[in-house]
Order: sequence, then structure tokens, then C-alpha cells
Amino acid sequence: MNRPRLAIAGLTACSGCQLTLLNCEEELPVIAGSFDLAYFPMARSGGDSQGPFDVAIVEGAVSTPGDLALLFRLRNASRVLVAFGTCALFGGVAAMNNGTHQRENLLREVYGEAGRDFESFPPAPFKNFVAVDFAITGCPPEKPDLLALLGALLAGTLPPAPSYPVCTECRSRENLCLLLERGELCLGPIIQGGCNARCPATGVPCEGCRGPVREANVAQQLELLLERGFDRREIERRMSRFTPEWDYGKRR
Amino acid sequence: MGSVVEINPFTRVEGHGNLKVYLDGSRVERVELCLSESPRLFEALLVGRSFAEVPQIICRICSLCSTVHKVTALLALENAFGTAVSRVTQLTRELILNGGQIQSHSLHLFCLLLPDLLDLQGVTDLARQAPDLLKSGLAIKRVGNLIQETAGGRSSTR
Repeated sequence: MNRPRLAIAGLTACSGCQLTLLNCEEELPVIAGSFDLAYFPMARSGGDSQGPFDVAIVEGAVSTPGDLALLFRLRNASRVLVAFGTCALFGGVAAMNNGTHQRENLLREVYGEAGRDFESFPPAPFKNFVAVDFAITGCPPEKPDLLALLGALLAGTLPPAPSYPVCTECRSRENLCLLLERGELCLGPIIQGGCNARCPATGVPCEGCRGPVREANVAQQLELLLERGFDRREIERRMSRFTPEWDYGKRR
Repeated sequence: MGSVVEINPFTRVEGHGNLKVYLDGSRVERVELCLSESPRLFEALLVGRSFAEVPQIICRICSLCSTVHKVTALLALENAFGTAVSRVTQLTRELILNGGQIQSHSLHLFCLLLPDLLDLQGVTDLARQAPDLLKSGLAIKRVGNLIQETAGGRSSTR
């Protein structure tokens, strides 16, 4: 059988999504044998950056001309482009102040006058620039989601993409509801599940790292939090930590 | 006769960069190191946010060592408030940090560095030509992640 040719790369990011692959310790030897990891700078030298590739799995937000060039190159060279992780899908942490601050002011705050020398624009998701064929969310993504993708690719297809909120798994784990029973600013109802409610299960409110669930009732969540006495600015600040753009009037 | 050796991009390392070595015959004339990491501006992103948000945001600086970033952010906050945490909390953090060290160092050693020592290109070559060594390295790495996940809730301690 032909081994699918993969490109695995990162744009503006922390390499955490790519690390998810290397964290598949038990499966990695099989993965390395089943795919041609043709371009994977994080884990191999001397790769082929030109392609063509069967699949490009790319993490990170787009925030520099270099990011954009690499994204276009991988898009053009690949049959399937996978947006890998929250930054690629929604902008992620680096984009949290997109809606409230000018990029040049943020650059100046960190680098002073030298900030002018950076070619840097507000971090944006892939969908603003190219067509995306499949997406895996998460900061970082969950291993089973990546393994499901790789397994499906070997079978010549893509896995299903279910969309349900964090609360679904949280309730089935019988966790205490941090939002209703403890009055905490938990984003579970509007955030994409699949993480098995990792954070609420340890008593930490959902911080929204997997981005919006497909049919998020954002307006209802907003009302619920306002009723519980949270300040509108605080709510928006928390919601924008991984996803800067929300439609606060969206009901489903 | 001058020549240039270029390494672009750096491989088997977390982060982005490239290197140019200018040669005059066999003598190195000049070296240009360029770190092309896109700025994410964490220092500026934190301004105006609640102190409670800081560790959750800061741990996203680097995935390979996110545990260290998170604990460091907690220590900075405790220092700012002049508070001390219990012995149990200190020990739990130490345990998570040790798990993180095991994960991060075994990743570096067995996945990123080992190919150089064996004159190979990367993990695929390792899987084919040094499968037992790779598997034993990954077993150590897995223990590091297991410690982090058991003590901290998730392997990247986020």
C-alpha cells in the first residue's frame, strides 16, 4: 500500500499541536511506518517542503507574511488541508486582544520602538485565507482526535466531525456543575466538547480552549452569566481568550 | 572562493529560525543567526486581565515546557501577593515539574537529538532503523506524561 505523504508544520504557535502527535508514544512507531512524513521540521531534517502532499496538517495562527506564504504553499501542494488546533481554527491565545487593541500598540508595548520593525498582523485563522478540508480543535488537541484522523486517512477518508458542548461529557462524568452549582464563569455550554471535560473534572471552569461548539447559544450563555452577576466586560474578556470573534446575539 | 551554507528552517527543535554560515575556503567568515519566531506578545496580552488568568494564558508560551511556564507564573503571582502555599501544594508542583522534565527531556533526547547521533533524519528513520531504542525512549516519555496527567489533570498541565 502506498504510504500517504504528509506535511506537518506550524505557523504562529507553540508547537503544542505537533507535540500531540509526538505524545502518542504507543502509536508513534506505527504512525512513522504507515505514513511518509515528508515534511515535518519539528521531528525530521532534510524534508521536502515543496510537495505534492496527500495531506498537510498545520497548526498555528496566521500573523506574518511568512506564515501566509507557507500556508498558501502547503494549501497549493496538498490534496487535503487540516487546520490543526485552536489557533489554526479560531486564532487562539495570540489573537485574544484582536478586537480590543491595535497590533502596533501591542508590539510597541513589548518591543518599544523596535516593534515597528516587525511584519506582524493580528493573528487570524486559516479560513480567512484558504479553503480548509478538515479541522481538529483543541489547545492542545486531544490524541484520540488526531489518531481518528490518521486512521481515516489510511482508509482513504476523513473521520466524522461531531459537535457537542463540553457539558455533555461533564454531565456524563457526574461532575459538580461549576456554572450552576458553584456560580463560576464556566464556558462549558458554548464550547466544543471532546476533551472529556478535563478542566471541570478537576474543579477548574472551562476556559474555552476548544473554541465554539457548532450550535452555541451564545446569547443565552451571556444572559445566564449576567444574571449571576458577572460583568459584561469580564465575560467578553474570558470568552475571547481563545476565540476573539463571537456573535453575542447568536441563539443557536 | 567564498561559499554560504544555509540551514532554513531549523529542524528538530521547538521554534522557528534559520542560519547562514559564510565560508572563505574552509574558514568561517561570518555567521548569521535569524530567529523568525512570530511574536505573540504575551507580555502585552496580560495587561488589564485578572491575575487569575495569568497562569492559564502563560502556559501556552511553549508546549514542550508548558508545566514550567505555568508553575513559574504561579510563583510570580504568589511573590507579588506575598503569599505562601502549603507543603502539599509545593510537593504536588514538584511532582508535576519532574514529570514535565522527564517528558520534555526524553522527547528532546530520543526524538529530536538521537537522529543526529545515528546519522538519521528523524522519527521515521528511527522507527525503521532503531525501533527498540525509539520505543524505550518513548516509554520513558510516556511516564513523564503519565505523572503530569495524574498529578496535574492533563499532560501539558494546562
